[in-house]
Amino acid sequence: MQKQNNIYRPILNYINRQETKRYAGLRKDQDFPEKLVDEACNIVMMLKEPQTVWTVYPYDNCNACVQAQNEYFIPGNSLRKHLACATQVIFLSATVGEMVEQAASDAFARGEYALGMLIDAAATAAVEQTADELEKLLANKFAKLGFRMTFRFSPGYGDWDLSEQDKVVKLANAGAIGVTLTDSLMLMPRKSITAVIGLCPDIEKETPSKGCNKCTKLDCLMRRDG
Amino acid sequence: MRMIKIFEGAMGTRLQALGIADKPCPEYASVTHPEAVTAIHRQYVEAGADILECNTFGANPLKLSYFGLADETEKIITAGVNASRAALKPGIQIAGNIGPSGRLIAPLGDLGFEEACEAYARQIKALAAAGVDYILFETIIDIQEMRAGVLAAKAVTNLPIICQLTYDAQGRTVTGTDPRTAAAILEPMGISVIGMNCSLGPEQLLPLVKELGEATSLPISVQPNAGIPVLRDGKTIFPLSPTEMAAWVPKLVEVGATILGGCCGTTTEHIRAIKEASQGLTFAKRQPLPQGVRLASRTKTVWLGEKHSTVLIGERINPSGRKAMAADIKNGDLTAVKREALNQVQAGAEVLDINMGVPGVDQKPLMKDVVETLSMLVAAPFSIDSTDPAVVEAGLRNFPGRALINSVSDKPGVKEQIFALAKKYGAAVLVLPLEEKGLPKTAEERLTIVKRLVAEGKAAGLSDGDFMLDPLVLTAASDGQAPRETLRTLQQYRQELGYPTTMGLSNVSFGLPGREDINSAFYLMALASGLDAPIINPCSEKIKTMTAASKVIRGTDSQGIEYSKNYVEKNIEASSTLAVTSGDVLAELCQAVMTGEKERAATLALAAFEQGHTASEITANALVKGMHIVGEDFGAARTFLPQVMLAAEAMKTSFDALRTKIKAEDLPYAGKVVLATVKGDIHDLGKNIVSALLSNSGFAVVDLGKDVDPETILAAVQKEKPEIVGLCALMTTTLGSMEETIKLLHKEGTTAKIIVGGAVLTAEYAKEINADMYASDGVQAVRMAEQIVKENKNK
Repeated sequence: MQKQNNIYRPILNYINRQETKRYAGLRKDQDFPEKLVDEACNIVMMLKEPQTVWTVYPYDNCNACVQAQNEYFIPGNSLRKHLACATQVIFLSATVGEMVEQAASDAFARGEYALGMLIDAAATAAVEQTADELEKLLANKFAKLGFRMTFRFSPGYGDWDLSEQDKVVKLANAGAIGVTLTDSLMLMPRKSITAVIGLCPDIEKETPSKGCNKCTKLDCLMRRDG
Repeated sequence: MRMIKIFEGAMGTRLQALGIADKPCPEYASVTHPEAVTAIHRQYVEAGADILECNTFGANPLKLSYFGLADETEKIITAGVNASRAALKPGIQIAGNIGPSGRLIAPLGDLGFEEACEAYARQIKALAAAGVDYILFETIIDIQEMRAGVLAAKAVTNLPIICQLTYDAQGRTVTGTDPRTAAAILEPMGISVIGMNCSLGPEQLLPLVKELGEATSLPISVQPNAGIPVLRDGKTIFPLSPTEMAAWVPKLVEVGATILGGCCGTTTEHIRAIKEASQGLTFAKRQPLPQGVRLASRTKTVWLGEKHSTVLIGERINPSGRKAMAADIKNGDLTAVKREALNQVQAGAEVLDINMGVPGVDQKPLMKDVVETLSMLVAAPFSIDSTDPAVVEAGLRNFPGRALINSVSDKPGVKEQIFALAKKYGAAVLVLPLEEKGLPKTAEERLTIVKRLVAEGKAAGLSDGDFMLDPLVLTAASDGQAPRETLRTLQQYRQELGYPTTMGLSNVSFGLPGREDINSAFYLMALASGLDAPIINPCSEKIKTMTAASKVIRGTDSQGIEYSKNYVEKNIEASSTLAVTSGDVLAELCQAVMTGEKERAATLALAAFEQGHTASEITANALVKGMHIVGEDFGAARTFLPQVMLAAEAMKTSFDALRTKIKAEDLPYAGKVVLATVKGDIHDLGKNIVSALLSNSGFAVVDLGKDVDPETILAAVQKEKPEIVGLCALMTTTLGSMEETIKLLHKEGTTAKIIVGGAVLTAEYAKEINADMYASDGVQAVRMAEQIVKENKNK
């Protein structure tokens, strides 16, 4: 059977302002010029190039083994636990391209610091939305087969070490959308993500939704309240 | 009385149960095991199905190519139809079943629109040749793919077309189309039945069927799954029993369903129960559609007409008379076009006019490009503005929605083509009362031309909901009576025809001064005369205000709530930019820095200087003081980083203003910092923030950028001799290179203090790698830098 190149370029016709503000570290109802947030969202709207790619693999949850051509054994407990119910896994990557990043740097260079920060934050919101759109597509594909999807789990979460990033990039086929890894394990373009989603056949073991309460970085500017 | 019809149930799962669904695909079972396929159909016939769905769901050359079977497309389809026919009884019909191609159409995916059309055409041709009664598209998740299928079907057959999309629990397809919008797009394309199948059970589909029923006059087909599935022991289980499923039948029929069936998880028994439950039920009465014209993008329907509120059609995507935009477009740069699209939508435009009249450019591919690009960017439907039918077609074909054609006039040879395009693509058409023998002067003449064009359009297959009328706007400066005649034409259109009206306003003021005033007066009078959808610059403040005000007058903005809101916002803006000149100028400047008011801060800094304060006083007693208060607020979580950055911006504009009065060296100097993000780390933001805060606190910052190797940092330190070195690392993977840098600096005897920071750093780790200080944020970094300089002085 021929292998498919699973590329999806989702439509984003807005940037989530609330999330943009959160990523910028603006919490609660701050007295902050909303126009600046709008401007940042607009710039990102114009310059974003949302792309996603994904690959599905069978998963042996007893041995924590992703059954790719080169088997990948999941190291560490957090991801194993996350995928405990999964019989298949999806490796994915999403990006909004390089232009947004340049726009943030340009704003700083012009002395528009707050705008630069907000562009960076809006680009982060955009890449998350891009991945969310991919999840919608995947949900449509797999929900009808009776699968439940776990939330996106990325290298660096829990004890899934960042050093695994190169394997994840390969498993997701991230290169197909131009996402590559630097020697120091950073994704390029910078506003990109990789992640794994588990496909679980059992409805009772639905995993809880993502939350900040699990994270140990208590002074994080982006931490959600509560 | 029209009776409810019943489709047969699932085929794929049945073949799976027989173990013949994966050899190599379910459709191939019609070739290898035709008798088994016929037996399944026969069971559905016995259970009461009126329409069989032949086993050709995935028999699309694109999908079959995964199995190396593309060449056998026709053979597989013929076998599938024959297997259905073998089960036929009198009165039973066959639907040629067509599923998704398995790929997404560009720009969402990599499948070209034309490639998709060709693949579908081949599948449909084979189905028609084999003798099916309907072409049935089902489980489609993107409206553009459905459009490709419908266009392909129309090109090769006259068979009735059934279109079923798949919706999620939020009532949208994966790519964002809701049932109303699907109806707005597909019904005018000339399909026979519209509906939905798969993904959801009858309970979840019920509200969606209701929504669809309110948006279409077509029969509606509904094929739910037997509930939401779960996987148990490796098997997909659908929870609804035949009786449970059948219980939903009367409710579905009541909201508009006219053909029922079942998708995943439905068996012969489900169909039998559904058939029994539908006995005696007839088509429910539906409300007629509202009067007016509807346009749609992939995700949104917009109604225009007397019964709906005023719709602004944005006129700004038009390079005529705009050299910069024309030049950009010519160079293949669509940034300006994208900006105009976003700005207009944000200013309230609900439809965007797209004119690509760039001299010396082939408009056909350009129109395709722009339509594709903008349809990924905004949710507003488009008006395709061109007099060339080929350009109009390039726009219509690639637009995943229902567009307006701007425009058709009484030009023999062209009007026929435009009407045919409107019919083919299901577009609406703007009718302009122009004829070759000259400009019609009076309202009566214009009405006559328009009536003639509407009749011709109807003869070409268009209907009442497809026409918008333009009263013709001529220049007031050359004919004083022209505007009055335009208004009279609007009134006559309303009285005689009642179709929605539209017009471009700005022509009226050509050659006059103060054009915006003339335009807005004309705009208001036109609204009163029956204008429904002006083609206008929605970003014009005057137009915005007039639109808001007219909504109050016409009662569509009840009690002026929206109108008042804008007014309040404007007042706040106005008051905040006022430079208060009374009292202590330094205190006010300090305040302006704290609130991040750039312009005000610059003005006040200059005023302070004029009043005789020295640069040092201004810096210490106003700028730095304000920044410190903001910093303290930040430390106490009373304010947040973007606000600190705004304060820094206000400081920057103040310094910039002072620099125009004094020499740079007379500005207070706090010290020097060499700043870098370490090797391997490409994060810019954190370092940029620190750099901005330091340089606006009087520090000279040598910013080496990101991904800087230790040797470069050392060289800069030796050359610049700073008091402070600031190092950033944002990732655990680059902490090593930070450590390496510090080692090198110490080895070479650097006396500068090293401050480190970054998301993954901790005070403990900073100590471990021998950094002098760890700053948890940019504000703290500035304080530490100030402290270091102070201590140096005291030594």
